Amino acid sequence: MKCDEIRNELSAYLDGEVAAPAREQIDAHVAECAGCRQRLEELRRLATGMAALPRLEPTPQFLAEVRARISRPEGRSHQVSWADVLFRPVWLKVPLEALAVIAVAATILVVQKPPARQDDFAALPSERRDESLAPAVDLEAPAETAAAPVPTASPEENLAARKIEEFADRREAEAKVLSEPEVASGRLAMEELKLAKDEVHQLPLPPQMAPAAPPAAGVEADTLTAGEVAITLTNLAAPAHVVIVHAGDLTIVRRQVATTAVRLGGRMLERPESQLNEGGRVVHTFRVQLPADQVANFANLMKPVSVQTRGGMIAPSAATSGTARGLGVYRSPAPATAAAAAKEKPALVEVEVRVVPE
Amino acid sequence: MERVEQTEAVNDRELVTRCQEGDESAFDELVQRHQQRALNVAWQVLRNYEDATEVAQDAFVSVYRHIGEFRGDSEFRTWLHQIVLNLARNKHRWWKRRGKAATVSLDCPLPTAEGELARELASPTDAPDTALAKGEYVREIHGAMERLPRKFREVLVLRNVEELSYEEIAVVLDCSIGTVKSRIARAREALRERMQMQR
Repeated sequence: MKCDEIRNELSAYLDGEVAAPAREQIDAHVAECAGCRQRLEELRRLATGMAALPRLEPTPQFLAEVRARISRPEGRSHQVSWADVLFRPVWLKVPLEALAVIAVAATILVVQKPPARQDDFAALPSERRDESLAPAVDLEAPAETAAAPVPTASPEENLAARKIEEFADRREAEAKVLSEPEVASGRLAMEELKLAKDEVHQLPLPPQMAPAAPPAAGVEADTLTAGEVAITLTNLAAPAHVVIVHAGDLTIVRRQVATTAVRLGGRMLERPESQLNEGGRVVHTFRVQLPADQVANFANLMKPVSVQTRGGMIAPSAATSGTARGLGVYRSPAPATAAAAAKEKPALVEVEVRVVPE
Repeated sequence: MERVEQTEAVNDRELVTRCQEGDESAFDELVQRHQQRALNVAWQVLRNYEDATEVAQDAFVSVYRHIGEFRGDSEFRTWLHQIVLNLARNKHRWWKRRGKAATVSLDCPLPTAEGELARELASPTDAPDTALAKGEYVREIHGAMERLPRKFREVLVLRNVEELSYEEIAVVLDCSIGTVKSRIARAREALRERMQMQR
């Protein structure tokens, strides 16, 4: 055996834990090798020294104290304080807790981020403006390009960008609760939002939005006939209006309702509600908030086939001709001056849209 | 020596049996018989008198509460060493989390109920100069052991202070005899190197 092998065994050899053949080899090697013999002596001296380490005597009260501990309720020898639970070991818990706090704070900031405002958008440098996010309604456009009476109230209420943000928030909330598979997906909801943005941006101003004359005296409600869906517009005694839409595709109608409401300076108010009508068919109900003078335009933009009112049916040509005169369009009285128009904010009214499957 | 240990083991078994049958005096006798052993193992690991006393007393509390589960597969003192080491490790970790070194200098007198405990490092039979040299050497060992990793300190205490066999140490540390053998060898080598560095 070589010296390295011998030295590895010297500790066990000293303790008598080496079997006979190996022990004899070590005996022979140590007798000849001065280095290994010296190492063995060092180990032996260490063992002797450790055996002589001071030993403590227990106190006379040791047994009594053990008995006293036994009589105490079972528990930990150390009381665990709240600091132990929260912070110890410091090297592990403090960094983890700091990360958790940062994550929670970041989540709260993201969730509670205020919607973009048009004046914020305008404040951006021109090279940073994303025109696709610009509000669809160009408030600075010449009058001839905006044939319809696009709301001219204060900019804060008419910011399409802000409405789109609100619409997106509402659509995400709707996607969680609606039963329709196509809207239950958040991804589809966001795609829908993108489409809505595009539509708002590209939607041409329809001829129906031309200034309309005040409704004829005695006419309570009117019928419009145009497009693909049937709309009933009812002026109730209450300030709310009801629009009944016959349509086959709820998603398209909802998108159209939301886009049109935003376009006219309004917004969707609640998530759709679904209930069975007397015929056993599902009726979906939306609520939108619109400037009072935009209710008729809203109905027109829905491209109605017909509108039933308490006043009975009105000839379809009245709507398809592009005039809304005499159709019971509810609008505020025309402001006397442009300055007054700029200051006056049209009152917002609620309109209920009921979608009845065709 | 071996005969004494055998007799002690037989007596321990009797005491354990009586204790399991509800004999309170048997438990008291077990405590008195092994209290010094428990206290010194804890002290060598923790190097703090108060903590060592607390650990040793808690170990006997644990013995009292779990004596019914002791099946006698190993000797009572082996089982006791296991309990003491586990509690000492817990205490060691508890102090470590708080960044405090639970140590005491060899020069520091030990407080006991009867006053400060004198340390007699040298045998009274040694000649004065030999005793002085031996006392200095033991003091060096004591200081060097304090700087050893806890695992090395544990195995050296079990082997060279408590004089347990490799087999018993393997039971206490719950590892193989081969592991015990290599760990003792490495611990002694580490101790030897630290003592050379001190000089």
